[in-house]
Amino acid sequence: MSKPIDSGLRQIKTLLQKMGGLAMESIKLSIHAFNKQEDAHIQIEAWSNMILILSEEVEDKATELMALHQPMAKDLRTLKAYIKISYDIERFGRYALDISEIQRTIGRWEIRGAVFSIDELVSKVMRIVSLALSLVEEEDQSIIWELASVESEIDSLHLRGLKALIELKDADPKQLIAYALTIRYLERIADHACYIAESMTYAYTGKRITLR
Amino acid sequence: MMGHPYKFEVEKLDAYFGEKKVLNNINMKIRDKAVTAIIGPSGCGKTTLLRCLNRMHEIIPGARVHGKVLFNGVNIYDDEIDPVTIRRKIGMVFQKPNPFPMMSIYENVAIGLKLNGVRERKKLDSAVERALKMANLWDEVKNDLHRSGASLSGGQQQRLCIARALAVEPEAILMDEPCSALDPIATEKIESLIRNLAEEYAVIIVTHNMQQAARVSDFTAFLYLGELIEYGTTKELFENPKNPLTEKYITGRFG
Ligand SMILES: Nc1ncnc2c1ncn2[C@@H]1O[C@H](COP(=O)(O)OP(=O)(O)O)[C@@H](O)[C@H]1O
Ligand SMILES: [Mg+2]
Repeated sequence: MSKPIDSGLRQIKTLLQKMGGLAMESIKLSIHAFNKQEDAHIQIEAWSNMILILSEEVEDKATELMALHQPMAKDLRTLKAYIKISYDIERFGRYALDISEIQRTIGRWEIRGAVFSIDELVSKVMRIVSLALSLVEEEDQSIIWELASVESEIDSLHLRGLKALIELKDADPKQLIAYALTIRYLERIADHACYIAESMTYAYTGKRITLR
Repeated sequence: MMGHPYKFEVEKLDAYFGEKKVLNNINMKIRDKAVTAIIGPSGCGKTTLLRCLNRMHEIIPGARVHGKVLFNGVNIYDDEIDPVTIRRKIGMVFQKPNPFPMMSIYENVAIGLKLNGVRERKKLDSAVERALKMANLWDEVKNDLHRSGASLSGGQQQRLCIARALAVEPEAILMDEPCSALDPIATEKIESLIRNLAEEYAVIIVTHNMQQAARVSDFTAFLYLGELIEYGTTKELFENPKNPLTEKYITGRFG
């Protein structure tokens, strides 16, 4: 049976999906720019600001629903989760912006020697973000299990990446910093994907899980 | 549907990431109560094929599937089919063992049931014991169920994840390179477990390790560049490959 609060909850979910879509595009573009050494900062900044505006909308809408309907149990947990998640998605956008910022401040540089390839890391990060966003869409345990697995794969790749950088002989320090920061930001994005999964699991079931 | 000869029937399956087609016209029937291995070089589409079998592929935005996957004779891509239910019936075990670090061994197995709303202690206890036994882990942990899942060895953690998948009583089990993070001894244990599981389930395992495919599977599918090049009994495929590409791959004369 549908309750008066349901359409409000759906509206927020739609906002979150919109934010998520923008965040995914931002991450993709930031990495593309990083690989191609292009400046995508302006575009990503615009998206990031759009995400910010949407997240304020989520917060307003959620607060309004709380005041209006005084929800209990699952609805209340869901609203709280949505507010937290809008922050996590905002972080996705910010980290994408940070990655593009690296490109902008460090500028063009040539890749010399065998640098750790971030492609595998990026594809896992994209996957974990999609998994997290689909948990916002619907309750699905299988997604939590995969998300946890991808998280630990990302963790080891992150470490492997840093080790590869340390072992690099006579590398350009600029290049090292650019790579280390990029890898780090990608790993942080994955952390926020985990937070989203934790928040949604709590919203759906009332059970707290810690993925990492 | 009782007595359906095949657990899965893949028909004219194409899979895409955006515009990129990564699986091309896959046709394959997969038997119940048997181990089917999917082998092939990195990037050939093994993981994608596995994920198409329980509707995990479509989670990536832009990722699409064409064609059919019949599960017990029913197309899981039909409009009225709920992907969440499908994923629950078709369990997945991942590359990296991923028990929840803050939870005990018991909790890690019970969590799937608890998230499904099972509260009754007795029910949970017996489901946990049953799943741990099926995963060949019970004897090693029965006196220590409240120890952290993270304190187990890598191989034990993977068996714990298998127990977690089994606890919710799936009908088939998909494994994506389940031993790639394990040492040979732990691998051997998982392999013998896989053989045991095939007494009850359709088990489908992706592996890049051909010896492993030869050791554990009844049937093997060789994928190359998104195409199913050869599929048959493991014995036939390894001893008498029909396609020169298969032969090249299994004899290691391949990139
Ligand atoms: N998220 C993704 N986006 C775009 N392409 C992808 C993605 N994941 C995998 N691919 C591509 O799909 C193809 C098949 O990948 P995959 O099924 O993971 O292969 P395998 O498991 O055999 O190594 C590869 O070419 C890979 O680059
Ligand atoms: Mg794979």
